[in-house]
Amino acid sequence: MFLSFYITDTKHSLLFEYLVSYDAPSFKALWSKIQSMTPDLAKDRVTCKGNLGKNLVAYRYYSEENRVNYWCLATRKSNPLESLVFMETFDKVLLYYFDKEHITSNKLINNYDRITLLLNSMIDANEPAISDLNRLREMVPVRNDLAKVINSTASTLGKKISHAEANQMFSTRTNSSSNVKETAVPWRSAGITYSSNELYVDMIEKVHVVFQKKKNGAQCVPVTASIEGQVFFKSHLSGDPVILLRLNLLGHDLGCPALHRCVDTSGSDFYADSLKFIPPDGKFELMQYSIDLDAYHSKSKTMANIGLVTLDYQVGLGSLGDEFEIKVNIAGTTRTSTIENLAVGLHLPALPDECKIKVLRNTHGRFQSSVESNRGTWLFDKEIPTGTLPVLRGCLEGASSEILKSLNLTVAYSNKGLLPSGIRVEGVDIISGMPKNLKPFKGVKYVAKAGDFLVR
Amino acid sequence: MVDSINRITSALESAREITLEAAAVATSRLGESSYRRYSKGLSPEALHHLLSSRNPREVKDGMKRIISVMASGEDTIGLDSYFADVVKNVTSEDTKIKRLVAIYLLRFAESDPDLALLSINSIQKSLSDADPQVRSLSLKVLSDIKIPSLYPIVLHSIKKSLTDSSAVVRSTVATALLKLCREQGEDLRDDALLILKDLLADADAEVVSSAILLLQEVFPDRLEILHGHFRRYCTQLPQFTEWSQVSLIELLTRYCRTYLPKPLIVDTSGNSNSIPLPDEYIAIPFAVYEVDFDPDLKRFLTSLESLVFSPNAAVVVAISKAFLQLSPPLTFKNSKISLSLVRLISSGENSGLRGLILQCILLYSSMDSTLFLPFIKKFYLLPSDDVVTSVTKLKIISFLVNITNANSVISELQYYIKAESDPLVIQEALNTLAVCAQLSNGLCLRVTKWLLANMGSHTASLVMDAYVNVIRYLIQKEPARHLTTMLKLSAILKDQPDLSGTARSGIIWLFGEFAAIRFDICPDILRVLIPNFSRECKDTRSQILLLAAKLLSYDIDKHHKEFPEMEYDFTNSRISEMFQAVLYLAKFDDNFDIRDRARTFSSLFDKGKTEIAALLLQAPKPSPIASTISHLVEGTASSDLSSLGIDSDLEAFFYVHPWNVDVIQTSDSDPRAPTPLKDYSRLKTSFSSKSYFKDSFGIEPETVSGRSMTNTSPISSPSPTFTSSGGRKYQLQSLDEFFSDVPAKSKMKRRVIVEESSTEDSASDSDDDSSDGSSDDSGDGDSSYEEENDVSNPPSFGEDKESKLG
Repeated sequence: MFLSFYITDTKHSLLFEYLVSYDAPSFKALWSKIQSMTPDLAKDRVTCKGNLGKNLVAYRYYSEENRVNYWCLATRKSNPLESLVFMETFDKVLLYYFDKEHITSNKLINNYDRITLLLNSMIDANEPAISDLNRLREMVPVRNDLAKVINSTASTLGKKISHAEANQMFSTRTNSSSNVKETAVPWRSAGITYSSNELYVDMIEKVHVVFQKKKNGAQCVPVTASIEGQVFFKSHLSGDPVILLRLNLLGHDLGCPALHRCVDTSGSDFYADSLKFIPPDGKFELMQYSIDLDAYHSKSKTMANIGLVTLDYQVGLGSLGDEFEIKVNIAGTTRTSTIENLAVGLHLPALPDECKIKVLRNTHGRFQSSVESNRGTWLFDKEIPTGTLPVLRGCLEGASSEILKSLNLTVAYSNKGLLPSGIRVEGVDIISGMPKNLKPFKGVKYVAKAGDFLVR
Repeated sequence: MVDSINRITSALESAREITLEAAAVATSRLGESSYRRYSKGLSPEALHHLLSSRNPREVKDGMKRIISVMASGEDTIGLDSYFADVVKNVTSEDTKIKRLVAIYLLRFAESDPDLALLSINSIQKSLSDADPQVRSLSLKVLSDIKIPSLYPIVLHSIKKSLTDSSAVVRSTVATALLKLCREQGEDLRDDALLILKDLLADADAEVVSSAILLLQEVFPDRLEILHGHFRRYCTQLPQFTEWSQVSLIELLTRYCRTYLPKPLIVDTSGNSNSIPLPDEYIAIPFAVYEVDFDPDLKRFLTSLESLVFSPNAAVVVAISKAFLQLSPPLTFKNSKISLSLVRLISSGENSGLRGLILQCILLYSSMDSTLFLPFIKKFYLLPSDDVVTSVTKLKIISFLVNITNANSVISELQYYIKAESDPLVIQEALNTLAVCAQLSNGLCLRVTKWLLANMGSHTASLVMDAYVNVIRYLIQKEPARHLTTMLKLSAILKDQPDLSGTARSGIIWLFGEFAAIRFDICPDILRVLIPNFSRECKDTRSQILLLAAKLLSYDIDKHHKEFPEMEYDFTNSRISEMFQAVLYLAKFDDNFDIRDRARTFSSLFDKGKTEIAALLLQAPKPSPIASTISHLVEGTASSDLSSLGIDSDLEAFFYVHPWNVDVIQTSDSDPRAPTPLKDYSRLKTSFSSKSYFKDSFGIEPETVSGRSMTNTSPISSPSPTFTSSGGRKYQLQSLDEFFSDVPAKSKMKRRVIVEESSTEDSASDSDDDSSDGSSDDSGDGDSSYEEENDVSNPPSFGEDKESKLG
């Protein structure tokens, strides 16, 4: 059973606390106890739990996105993952509830009452209870803040105001009537009405790939490669629509994707390329999948699916053999004209003091040295057109060519409009459940990102 | 959005009428931060004033301030002093204020029980509110207040709400009862069990979800009450909340191991042998086999397979554990569960969670390496992996590596050893490399050669120790084959004086150990080392001294063996002379530790205590490599999880309850015959699109089938009268009448239910009796399954296993 929850920033100063019972310790007390009993938990970011007694455990969940630590104090559970998964769920609930990309500490502090209410609804009898966002929204109604009103353009604003005068039912659902109405499915609130119906599909894929440079310097060969994908769905639809999302998977095997509970997986011929569901209201993560690119036995097939950017480098150039050349190959495509935030990181093993990475010439971007002499970053402009071939030539002063051989490169970038795997949405059909005359606006977005991208 | 604009304008309008301060509040709604600044400046008097205000907006502001102080952990403001002001707002019409007061009560009720009791009356009143959310909230608040004198009232309210028409309220009943049971414990058990039985029979998945939690927390051993619900829960499993899925999978797994017979493993390679599922996970003697499940067990496993798409990691791990404990490896492989686990580790953002899942995979791989074999590349290290993740991944690789993938794994490991910076990771990579070397002689030579070539490149002593350990391990396995390796090592000692001290001392130590196997080459090593003694570093000098002592000890033993009657001649032995030379050099050493050791050894040999010296110096060393590998190589039973370095909680989680072998399987009465459902949905008006929905969209086929199952089943004979009487009553009423007398109605209902449950009880009692009787019978060999079990499970099998464990 959970005894208390805390949110702290990365420096472990308290942002929020929720004590489930009267005798639960404050964070100050807990923190000093953690420091004395499980110093590992206090120190590094890797450890996630620490025993504080025979039956008392402190768990920590670090959220990369929000850069905060979630802590909870709980008695030992039969399933050891439960506490961490609960905090992960809580993290996501906060993001979706406030409909933000990141939750700042200011947002937390300004919304103490809401977060307390949310957590109070998510925990009952010291155990996790409700985690459906729509149910939570019913219990803790969302207040649209001013920022959103200002953000929507003036024309739609004017239109909406005139609508609002005509009938009070507008944009947000009518709370008073929802109590009477029956929910069709437990995850969707009843009686949702929108004046402008919209649905959005966001697909995000992350490439994780490790290349090995062959000894003879010929080519880079992928050692391991996989794609991690997420499909987000945002629905602002009236009624209880049944939606069929058809994906063109291009023959990829999505393995065993994680699906939101709204997806109908019954039926023997269920496959991830056509998902039938009644969406919850608002934004949610519809599917999470991973594609194992190692399963393709031909190298070309793997290479075709790792995205727009590939990398090659050569070492041992120049008269002294201490020069190197990095070529970034940004493939051309009609789907998108630019890639964003490209950065190539250079890593060498620890160097002698007199050694230094020195850039001889570069076609694009600039080179940024790090405090440590064995690291550096080749930074590009915010946007780089596709179909270019930036080259960087540099040398490692005062070092043998042997050291240069263990040069490692990491790549980070993102692009829109095209997924590495090439998966596309074929169509979003509303099968039933919506008034016939309504034609909702449908939007699809593709984002590709480089995750662990290493050339070694 | 216009809503918010409306709110702003209305707030501004109302601001005209009220005070200047209130106007500030209203305008501050434009931004959250300015509102916070305003509320921070509230004086205690102003807060009292706000809380006592008649304007719900002011009360809300006051409550917000109270909650903010609670959430920020400030202890400068004594929140206890506002108790009376806060609690009186429990009567507020606004649900948000109610909830906020509830949170305050949850935290502070115990500090002032008398004042808290004052609020009880109004909370109780709202238990009969028209809005189910309010009813549920009231019950929640009531049960949250932990004051002993209140418990009878809570119990009464629980019993009253048990027949509420709203599923939300009924599910709150379960959690309220859980709170009550935690506080009151034993006194309540009988009452609670009766209520729990009603809750478990509820038709609504949400109610059952909370009831399952209650069952797991309070009555974890009363698995027999699941009898009548087993089949329904199996089909309904995907509809429960994710948290109760975790609990239910746990409970049903234990249920299966208690009440269901073991699955039969049928040999399909020609001769039709069959055995029950062995206790050891991989101890199935057939190359190809099929599994014959009990129909109920099959039902459970099939429903688990439909859950593998769950995004909740705890659920996925629970499923995998259920498969592990209920079925042979074949079923695990055929389900998609390994894919699901691999997806979790490659996509999870959180390293703590990923670490735990990796440990689960490590455990599964240690039991059967083929489960995750196709995914070996997913366990290659990535730049973003932290130390714990990397070490666990390497351990998994050490289980998955085989002769076909060894080549790529070895080159990968070699890269890690060269490129990684953390000594722990390098150590684990070296250990894994040693496992690879075990696979074939060719690989062994390749690995040792590579190890020797790269030995000097590391300086960390932990890494060097790992190198030496791995080499020693490989040599120990087959000493004869590794003579060349030892010779190469001696060449390294001779030719590379700039090798790090830890490496040199490690190699010298290795020769000391090697002396037990091939004595003849070792004295020469010592001879070469002595002249440079003073130029070596501290560790190396200490090892040279040890080597000299070891050689002398071995030489004395050898002498005693060859000439048992003759005394060892210390003066004429070359080895003794060398030992004396080292002793002499050590006597003048800077380091007191070396001087001390030298004195110890010299006194041992001078006084002729050669047996003690042999005990000291020739002690067999334990296998140097982490026990994972030794266990893998020697093929011992994998029951010892601690050797894997798995988290203690996870270990407890994977504790296996022994399978109950005396399953009573009587053909005439089916213990898992479905018990009738309690469908309260007839109590309420259903205007919803539910029926329409089922036609258009098959998202809830389970519910449909679940209900139809109970209607058609012949056993549920009481239920038609129950429902039909309820139904008839309902039809006679007009809608208004219905709403006007909900409480009276529910009373009627309740009486019916009590009757029914009593008959149900007596029925199940008689069931129990009959099954008891049949168990006596089966002792005589009535059940054919029992016999078969005994025949095909020879006693030697069990003994075999014990000896293995020993």
